[in-house]
Amino acid sequence: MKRAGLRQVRRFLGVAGAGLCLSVSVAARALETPPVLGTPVEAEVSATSSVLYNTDNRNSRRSDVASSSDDDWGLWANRVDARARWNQWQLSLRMDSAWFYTSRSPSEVALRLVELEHGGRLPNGFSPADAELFVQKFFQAGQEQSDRFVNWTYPAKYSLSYTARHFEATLGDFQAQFGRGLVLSVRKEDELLADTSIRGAKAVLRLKQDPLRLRFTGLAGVLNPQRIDYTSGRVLGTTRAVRPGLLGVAEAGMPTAQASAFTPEARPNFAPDAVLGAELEGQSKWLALGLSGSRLQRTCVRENGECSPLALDLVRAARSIDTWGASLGLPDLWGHGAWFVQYAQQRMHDFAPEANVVSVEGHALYSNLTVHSGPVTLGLEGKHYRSFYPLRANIDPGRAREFVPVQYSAVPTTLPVWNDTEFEGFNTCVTGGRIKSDVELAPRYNVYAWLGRYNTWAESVAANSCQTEDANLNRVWDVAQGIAVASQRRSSLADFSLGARFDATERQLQDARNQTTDVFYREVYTRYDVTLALTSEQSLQFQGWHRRRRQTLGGPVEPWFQGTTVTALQWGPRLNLAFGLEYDQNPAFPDLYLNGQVRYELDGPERWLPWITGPSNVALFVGQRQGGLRCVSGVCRVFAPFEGARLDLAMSF
Amino acid sequence: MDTRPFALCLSAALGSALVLCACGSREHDEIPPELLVAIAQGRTPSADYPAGPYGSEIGDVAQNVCLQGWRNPAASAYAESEMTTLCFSDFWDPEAEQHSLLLVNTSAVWCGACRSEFGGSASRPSLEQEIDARAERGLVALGALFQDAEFQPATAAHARLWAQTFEVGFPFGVDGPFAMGAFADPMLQPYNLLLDTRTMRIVLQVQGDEPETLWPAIDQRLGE
Repeated sequence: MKRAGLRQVRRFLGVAGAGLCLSVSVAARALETPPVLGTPVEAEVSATSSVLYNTDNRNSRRSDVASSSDDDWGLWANRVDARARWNQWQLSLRMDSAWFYTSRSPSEVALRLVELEHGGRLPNGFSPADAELFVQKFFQAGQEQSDRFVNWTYPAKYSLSYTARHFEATLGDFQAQFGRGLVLSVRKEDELLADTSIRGAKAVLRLKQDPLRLRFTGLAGVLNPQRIDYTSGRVLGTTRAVRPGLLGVAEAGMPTAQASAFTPEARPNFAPDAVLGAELEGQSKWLALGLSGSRLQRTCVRENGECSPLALDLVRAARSIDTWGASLGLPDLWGHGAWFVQYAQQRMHDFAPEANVVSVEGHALYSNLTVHSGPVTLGLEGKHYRSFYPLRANIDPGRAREFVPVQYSAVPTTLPVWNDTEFEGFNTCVTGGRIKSDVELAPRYNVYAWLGRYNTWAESVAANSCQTEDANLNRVWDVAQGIAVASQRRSSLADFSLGARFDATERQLQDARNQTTDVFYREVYTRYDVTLALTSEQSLQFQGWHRRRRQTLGGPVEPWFQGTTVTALQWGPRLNLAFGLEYDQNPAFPDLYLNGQVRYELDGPERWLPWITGPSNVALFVGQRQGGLRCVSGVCRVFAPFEGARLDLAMSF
Repeated sequence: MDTRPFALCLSAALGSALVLCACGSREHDEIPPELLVAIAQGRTPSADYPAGPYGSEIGDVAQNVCLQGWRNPAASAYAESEMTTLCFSDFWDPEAEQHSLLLVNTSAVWCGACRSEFGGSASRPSLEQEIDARAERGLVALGALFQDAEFQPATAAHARLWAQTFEVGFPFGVDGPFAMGAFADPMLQPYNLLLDTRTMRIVLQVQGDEPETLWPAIDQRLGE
């Protein structure tokens, strides 16, 4: 039991050390140097620190190594962002660190799975089947953890930039989006805990000659997604086999794949791709034109003179993906609206020999029209996509499943940002659109409704095929109506909506009970967000989303209810208390999740924390949070369930 | 309102909560001696399969995975009583006398894409049809169903229902313990593993339903 004792001590020291370092890190101060060539250098530092412990998150399943590995682990994560400004120059560096102060060992995982085979307890005697299962799961867990729960400190983002009135240049990490994201979209998505950038060079040239404004953007670099997934402990690591030439410079100091007793030879689960892009935009009061293009150049695994892809799916096996587009906009329709349309073409070519594919061509047409007159606003969004794929990150799905949804483009869905019911390859082969109306019946009293209609040929068949035959067709209706009301000073707000989605296949499907149906997916739901002002400094907020769902392929046998509610109390300008409840009737998951959260703003002068000069806060989460799919504008991510406690501290100096 | 006392209490409570969480976890540090004995007794080298070391990457020799199933499900009338032990070693063919490539497919009842793969459509051949079309060129297949609709280990009854539904004709069985987990991620299904039956080395791995790349890649290997 010595090792058990040592682990307990290590855990305690980890937590205590984390707390100590949280205290020490606030010693940094805002800085302004004496003038250098007439101008002082201004420096600012912000830091976020999180300590979490995940207990048994109730997702363990018999024989499943992954769901048993994600219990009983703890993390202390830090992110320090330092910026210095001098005249038009800015230098920034963000260091990220993750220390997993505890996690289950392969033998713990294997024993836990033997326990599950015996109803949750180890038997008194072991059969040959138990022995076989233990050995099998021991090695599987060792492989599973070879790129999980690995401690790292690395330069997540850094850049040097110069900004003038007509010119802007950045060397290092930057974000970029061309148009509506069809051609390129590399940016941070807080809700999905995604933080992708391009590490390279970007230049922006702006010219203004009334009434015309021109803007040219050129960029080149290596794609740099966030390397550590703090919800699962998975780390994206490279080896020299995927860092040839200059890529090695861009990857200096970044996490690498590690060899272990279970994986004697380190294998990369991520390869940094190169990207080249340019965009030219011209705009006047009446007309906007844009041209953009990008080339994504895959990095392969170079070993023994061969160049192999990390994954063999269609998009990742293409060594080059060229995407280019043209857009036309009418920003002002005689004071009554705006119209935007973009056409994009995509060509995937130079496939890995293993894939044995020559090339794949696709195209996309997206349009957005907004018209308003008096109290009525109408919006019409349409899309027509054929074999048009998101630029998926070059990861090995089998060894970094948490990063599968990372992508470098964002193809518009035309649905609300929170929609999560476009399954499989829905958006890669689809025609349809949504019309939305919003009517202001009285001041601060609005009603709204929308109707969406889509035909997709890539939802109930293979995700990457786009064969527009009736046998592959899913017909989708998406409808909703709602009401939004605000008090005179907008201190109290209420937004209620009721919606439904009907997704049916042209062919008959067989469900889990072996009965035939054309229902692919159905849902009715209600959403609400109500804020009630109690006093000038106190308010009560209720948020909720309650759904009745039915999914023939991939869902439970019976339709099920699923929902989430959050009740929050804002007490004064600084304190916020929240209580959350989630429920799920899907028998594959626990039925109830409860949690509480406290957040305290440290903004403004604090006698006991005088060195804090900018927005700062401390937040504590204790309880359970359901895992599952979360989406923002069609970019989705599967989160592991979390049960335990988490402390976050954010400070600016 | 002075909320500092509250913040101090919050910090104290947080520290306590985290320490308690860290210390309250279960421990499994020692492997029970009885289990070690059972392991030692159960490990016997097989002369019917290539020797290790085994691995899970392309180029590695795959370990000998076994499951319960039918060599010819249709001929066995999908009867659970007709199930026998099917192993990778059954397909080891050093001289390539009968076949040269083994495609091992894993699927789960909850997996919609697996149903698409097995069922096919008007514009897409089923897995069975794809395999049959390459059988004469040396392709043989082994299917394994490993989880039910609720992500629990599949049983023989699930395998029977699946095989009947899709009229599976190639060797197919149930992998409740998910021995295929040595290669496949349970959440990325279907999974296809291609082995060179002369050496039992891994030639190809494809996660997810990717017929556009899987079958051309197999054709290429069969042509070599």
